[in-house]
Amino acid sequence: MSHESSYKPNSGLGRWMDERLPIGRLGADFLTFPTPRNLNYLWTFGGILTFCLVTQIVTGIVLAMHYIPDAGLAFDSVEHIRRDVGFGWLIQPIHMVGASMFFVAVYIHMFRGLFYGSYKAPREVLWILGMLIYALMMATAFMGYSLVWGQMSFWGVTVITNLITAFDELIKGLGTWLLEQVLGGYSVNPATLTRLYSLHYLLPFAIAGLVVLHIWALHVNGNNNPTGLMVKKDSDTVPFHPYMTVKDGFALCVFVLLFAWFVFYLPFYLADPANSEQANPLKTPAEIAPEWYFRPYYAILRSIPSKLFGVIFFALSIVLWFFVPWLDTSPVRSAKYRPAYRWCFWLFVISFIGLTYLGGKPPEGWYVFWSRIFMVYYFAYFIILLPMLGLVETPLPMPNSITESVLGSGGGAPAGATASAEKR
Amino acid sequence: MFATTIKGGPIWARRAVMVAAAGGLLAPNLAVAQDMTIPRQTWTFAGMTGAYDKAQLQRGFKIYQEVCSNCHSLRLMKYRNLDEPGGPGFTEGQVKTIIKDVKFDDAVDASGNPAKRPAQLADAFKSPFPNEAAAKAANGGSAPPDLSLMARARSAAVDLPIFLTPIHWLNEIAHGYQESGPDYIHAILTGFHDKAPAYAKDANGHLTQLPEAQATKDSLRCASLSPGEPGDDGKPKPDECNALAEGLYYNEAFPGHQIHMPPPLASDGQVQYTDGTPATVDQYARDVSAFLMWTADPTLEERKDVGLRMMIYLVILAGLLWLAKRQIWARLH
Repeated sequence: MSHESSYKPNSGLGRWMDERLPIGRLGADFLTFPTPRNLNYLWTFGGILTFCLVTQIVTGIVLAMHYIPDAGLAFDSVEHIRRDVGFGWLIQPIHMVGASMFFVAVYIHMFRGLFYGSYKAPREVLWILGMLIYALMMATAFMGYSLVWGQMSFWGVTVITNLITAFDELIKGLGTWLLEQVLGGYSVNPATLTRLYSLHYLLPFAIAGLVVLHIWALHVNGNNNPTGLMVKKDSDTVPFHPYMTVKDGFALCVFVLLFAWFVFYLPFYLADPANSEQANPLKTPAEIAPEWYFRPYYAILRSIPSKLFGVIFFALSIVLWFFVPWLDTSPVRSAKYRPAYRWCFWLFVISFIGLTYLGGKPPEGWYVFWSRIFMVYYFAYFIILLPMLGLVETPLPMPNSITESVLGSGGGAPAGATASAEKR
Repeated sequence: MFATTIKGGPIWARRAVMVAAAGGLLAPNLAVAQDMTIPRQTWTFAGMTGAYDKAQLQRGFKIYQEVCSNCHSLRLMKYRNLDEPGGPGFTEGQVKTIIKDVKFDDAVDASGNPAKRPAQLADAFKSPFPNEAAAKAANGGSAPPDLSLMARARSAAVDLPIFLTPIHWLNEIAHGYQESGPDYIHAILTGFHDKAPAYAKDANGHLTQLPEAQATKDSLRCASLSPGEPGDDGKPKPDECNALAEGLYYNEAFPGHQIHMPPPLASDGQVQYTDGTPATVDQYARDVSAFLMWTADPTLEERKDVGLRMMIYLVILAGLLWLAKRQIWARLH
């Protein structure tokens, strides 16, 4: 905890423990952690994401007790869970829908950071840890999807791992050799399934470790906030408990409502119907499309006619996120005070959603045309707009402090004036 | 079937990878446009409080037993499922009657000869063919797919202009629409025609569909049309006619319209109904589609039942948390 600790153990045992392992102090400091008073509901997604991770790990551990990572039995074992395992009909859809919900939350969380400049000094490491979590989430989700061993699982793994063979264009045989090492054979085979299973069980715990570091880094410099200003005085903040706990709790409950709607009423709505057929290495599905959360990058991959450059830009499109703290040259954090950046940001959101849509469409005709337009904007946003805007943009006037942004310049305006601020 | 693929994988595996690499990365446009919009049917199991109609599932099971099960397996279903809650609601006695003549291969008898044993409630539905090769051999080289998950493995794709797509999705999500599979199965089972549609060729070689009344013996019969490739002059050539291949059947709902399966529900009265329900092809198709929805989602009723309580609980909890939040934050003013 970076803020001054106000914890006073009030029992003999508490004092004894505090001198040896101050775990009570850690918890107490968590609750008194000062958070900016002007945080809006977009700041509740950190807590929601923690909930998603815990949900995936808990349901995943139960599923692993019944799942069989064998190419001949995997598919039916998932159905066995849904049909014959106690509450399997609930746990399996929670895990499956939970993956999508996790990505819904992480995209909102990432784009919130992008809008309010949450990655800028001194929060660069916080941002990079978040991006590492995102990268591991994608790897974990990809592997988890493959474990179902349906048609899309099998062919998705086949297509994505085959990207490695692009390295053959650099050094003859390199890509093919690498692919064989990854798959444990010449093609997707039982050995591939067992290694995917092993890693799918391992990576969530690596994510959990990174989440601890992510929260630690957050607690060093504190939350960013909609003004992007640093906390300057006590009136800028409220203690995490009860203000943020109750607000996060409400937001989480609304999120779980949406989550539950899909689990109970639309468990397979987000799933590809082809994945309800068992993997068949002899039958290629008519169209191979990844899950929706991979589609922006998949659309970029397919927009480029060369396989090698497709793979390079595919990788670059993810790597660029890590460098945002240094690509953005503007000293102003929040897009609220950056009139030109705001436009660029929303166009970026449109491009990202557009690419997500197009990644699920066949690469032909107008779909390719629009994929390329959005892709060009995607890269231009990172490589041209973020660095250039900071140099040419005139920021709007900013309030002097967080308190002033909430209560007005008087600082002590009557209660009526604060009602609107509270609604943010 | 994967046993030999670790090193020196079989040729099919390598070929499959090449197909995927080429198909997935360059242009996976193997799909034939599905030019019929699958009509949506009314189902008792749709919506927040939907539940299966037990009588309908029993009729659907009858259709499966008498028609489908001659070729299609239901390997994920067990006989005991038939008397479990949320299903067709047979009694245990009725299920035992259903399986009394079913025999499975057993271990050897006392003299070492292969033995048979009677089916038990815990057994999975007996497949019509002993293995996939037998299924292929008996069906012209194409094994009839297992039907357990068919209602989930097929969907009625809707082709909409892009600006309507988000509204369409939100509408489906708000209604909890997941009946696309049974809609599709119903459309397939009622989508057979004796002949492919008739076409006439005009002077420029373009094809126009004729109403069946105007078709003559010499009319072109096309299961589907392929767009003509551009010729040397850059202009696209007229569409090409894809005639119905030997041994395939015309089906208006099937992608590409050429299906291996002969019309399984050929005429009204083919299966006897004892509960007064009209014995029509449309009704058969509706009942067996509902039955296959149950085999694909046998826990639907329990899920929707718990789901409704969960929703009510969460709405109340969210309301209380919102009030608590308002009260706590009011202290700041």
